[in-house]
Amino acid sequence: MADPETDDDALSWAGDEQEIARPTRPEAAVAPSRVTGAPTLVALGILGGIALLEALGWMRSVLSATLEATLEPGSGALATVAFAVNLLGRVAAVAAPVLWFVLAAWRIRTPSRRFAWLALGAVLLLPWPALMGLL
Amino acid sequence: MTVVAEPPRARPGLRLAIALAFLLLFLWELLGAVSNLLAWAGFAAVLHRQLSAFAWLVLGGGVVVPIAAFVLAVLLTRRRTSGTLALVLVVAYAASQALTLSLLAFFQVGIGVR
Repeated sequence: MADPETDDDALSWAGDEQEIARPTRPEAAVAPSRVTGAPTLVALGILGGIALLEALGWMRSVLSATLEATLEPGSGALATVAFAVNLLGRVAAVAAPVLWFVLAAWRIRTPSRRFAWLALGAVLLLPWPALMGLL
Repeated sequence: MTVVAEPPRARPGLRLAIALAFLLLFLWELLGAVSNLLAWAGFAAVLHRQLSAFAWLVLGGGVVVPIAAFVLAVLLTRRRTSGTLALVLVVAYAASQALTLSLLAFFQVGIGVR
């Protein structure tokens, strides 16, 4: 019999059973997904720390003169809305590593997939503007 | 007697509303990337030059990132609840913004701003 978790297309999300009915498998009632041993906690701590450092890097990036110069408040209602949406984007960029970490650590059940997504986020969301400013 | 609980209903209308709301944000980001690409291509044309492969790669990447982020978020959550869809779209939007800023920084280095 196939592993009940492998037939999901990409991710296994916690809490999704509440809204959309899915086929039930009696053997899958107790999923070995929330294993929180010491190595798992250490790995989560390291990746969480990386996410926090990346968020700090993004904070430094968006406050740098070269990126700050690309965000100007204009005059008029449309320009104000555009500025607000662009500002929201900058705030989102700063929060991105932490949001990615929280979503992956909290909602993905399968440990291997969880850590694959966490590692992907850590690599993908490196704060290149700050890193290139330092180099 | 066996009591079978009625499965809760999916809410496609809510999913559509969430996807459309986020689509506006992604489209705004896409508009910025396209206008950036056109502006630099126009600037190069004024100078009777062409954009380098690096510039096409970086500016084109800025166009691809918001499209890919939105499509991936919707595809990955197509069988999930609307709450999960909203959470994934928030993260996809944030990641898309971060990647766009990274590409902008690469471009600035490429043209010698930094």
